[in-house]
Amino acid sequence: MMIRLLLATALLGYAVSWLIHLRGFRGHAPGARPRSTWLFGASTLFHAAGLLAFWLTFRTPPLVGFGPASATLAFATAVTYLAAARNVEAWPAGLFLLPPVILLLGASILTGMTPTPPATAFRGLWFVVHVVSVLLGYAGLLFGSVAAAMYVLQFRALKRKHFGNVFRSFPSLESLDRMNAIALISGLGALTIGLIAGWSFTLTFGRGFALGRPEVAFGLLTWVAYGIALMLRWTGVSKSPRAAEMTLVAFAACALAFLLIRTFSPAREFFL
Amino acid sequence: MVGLSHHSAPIEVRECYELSGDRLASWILDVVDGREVSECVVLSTCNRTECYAIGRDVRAVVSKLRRALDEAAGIPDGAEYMFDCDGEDAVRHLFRVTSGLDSVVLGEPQVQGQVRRAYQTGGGVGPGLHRLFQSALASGGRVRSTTAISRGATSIPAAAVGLARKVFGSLEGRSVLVVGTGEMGRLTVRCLCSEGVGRVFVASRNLDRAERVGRVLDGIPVTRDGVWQRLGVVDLVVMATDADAAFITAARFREARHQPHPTVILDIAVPRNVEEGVGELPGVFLYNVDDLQRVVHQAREARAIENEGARAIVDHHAAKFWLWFQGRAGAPAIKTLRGVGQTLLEAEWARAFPAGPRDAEREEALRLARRSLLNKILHGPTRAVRLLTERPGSARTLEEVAELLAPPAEEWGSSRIVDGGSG
Repeated sequence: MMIRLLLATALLGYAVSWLIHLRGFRGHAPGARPRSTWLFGASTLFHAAGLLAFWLTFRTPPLVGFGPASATLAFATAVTYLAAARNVEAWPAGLFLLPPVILLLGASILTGMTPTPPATAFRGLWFVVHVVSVLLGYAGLLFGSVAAAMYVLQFRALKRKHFGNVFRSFPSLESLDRMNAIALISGLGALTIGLIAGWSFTLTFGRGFALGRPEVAFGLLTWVAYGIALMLRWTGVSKSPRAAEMTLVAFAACALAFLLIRTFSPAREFFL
Repeated sequence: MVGLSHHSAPIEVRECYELSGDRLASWILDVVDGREVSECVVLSTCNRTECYAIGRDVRAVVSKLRRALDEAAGIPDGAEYMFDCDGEDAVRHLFRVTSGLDSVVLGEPQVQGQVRRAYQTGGGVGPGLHRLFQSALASGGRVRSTTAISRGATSIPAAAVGLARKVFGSLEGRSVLVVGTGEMGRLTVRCLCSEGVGRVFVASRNLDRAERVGRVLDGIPVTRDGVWQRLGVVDLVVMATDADAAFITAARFREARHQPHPTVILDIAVPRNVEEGVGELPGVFLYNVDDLQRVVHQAREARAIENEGARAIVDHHAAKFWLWFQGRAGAPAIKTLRGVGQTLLEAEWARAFPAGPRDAEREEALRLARRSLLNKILHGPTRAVRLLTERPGSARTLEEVAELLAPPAEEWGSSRIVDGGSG
């Protein structure tokens, strides 16, 4: 009950914060940024408290099962945005990042925040490092994808001379490109650590690195898709705006893969 | 407040009334005499000269300030250009001026700094004007932070800088090529230079002219051939020539570019110097004067929408200040009332209970009882004085009340309090 209450409070805070973002985007509230940032920060604290309450109640971290893992992924995304929003130019990204946070957290509350029975088998530091790194990696890559989407929108607004809300509220192309690059590098870095930790975990517990497992397949596919996008950027093959477009292609590929795996894989109950 | 502004006087008249530096200091010394005018601050900018003063008689103060301003300007009678207001109207006017609501360009932020400097450097500031200007500056800050009254570019050069910043972020270190030496082109480049751009190349048909303008803008003069060399490598291009037709075509531009990189071209010439097709090239952002005017127009419209909300904030703060100021007028009367009451009570108490050994606890209880009694007796008269301060023109009455209440203390020391009062 306490876990749900804390997470529901966080959810409400995120929702109101998003509405303030929306008002700021439409130019109706110049003071929106500090208000929504404070509210978002407070909501993140409630979110953290809810996850901590889960851990203390069930004596296992909220990392396995759709509900707990979604809540933790939402938290990782929220923390990533909070870290980035210290730079005022990153603040408008909340307009696109908050909806996934709200959806993930809402879904976790609705499906139930209880650990999946076999979760008791997943213990140990390696497992925690593996899952947390992977979730942080996904959060970073999601942020990079949002920055890329904003880049494409701002680029089009500038190219087509549409001087509306996007032109006014979004940061410069240079800033968005930089955000995309930093998010990709840090997200991919965290995902790499997570995959290596996962591999070590399976070796340690003698399970073997089964590529057929949905979470392994998805993790590797994400790594490859975004890795290609980053490599093309680094080698100069794709400069912005192409770099932004490649990031969005990688995001689309991962989103499609997620849907297919979640729908058709026989072992999907362990997959986020 | 007495003064003139862009609403009431043309520039040639406003120039005469301008007060600054030593001339302003000596003007204020002459005006603030401690009798008619006790405090005075002058706000003198290119768009207004306004004197804010506090004195005993409004009409006398207005008359004195008008005379002093006319004398300083050397104009026998500037009545047709000047306007005045007093009381809450004067307060509201200053608050609106500080918030940029009375400016030529609605919401312009420079006036806030001008008001601050006028208040900080003027010599005639007293407690009343100190609080007034502090409140006006706070209100101006609040208006700018809670409304969008100051957002957006309201001139062509500012719009050009805004567009360039939307592409590049910071303009520090960016290279600029300005082709043509017209006034608007130079203004635009000056705006860009204030953003910290790096090298500026100035191109003109006439190399002498390019050198002359280059010196003014701290730029490097280039020949017409040099234009094509630079065109493909600089970050920003400002086209401002008087050519009859567009001479920068997409084909020529593509040839001049070694490799695509983000380039912002500001074609502020009429007729345009750059073919529309150049804007279709990868990485090129082309804006003509119509586009810049659209940005300016949208910014001005947005500010106009914010005007009502900004006025509401200003009027609220002005009313709050005025309430405080009126209450201040009653302070001497209330202070005198309480002082006399305290003196009377202590004198009678000392007579009733002569000095000698006393119980400390009982002494404290009696002291508290005295204070409570005094507060109860004086509650009605204090409230009446406060209500009196809210009536217009009550300043003289309040002074008379203060004088009435304050006879010398020795007159009361020898008499006794008579039950029910004597006749």
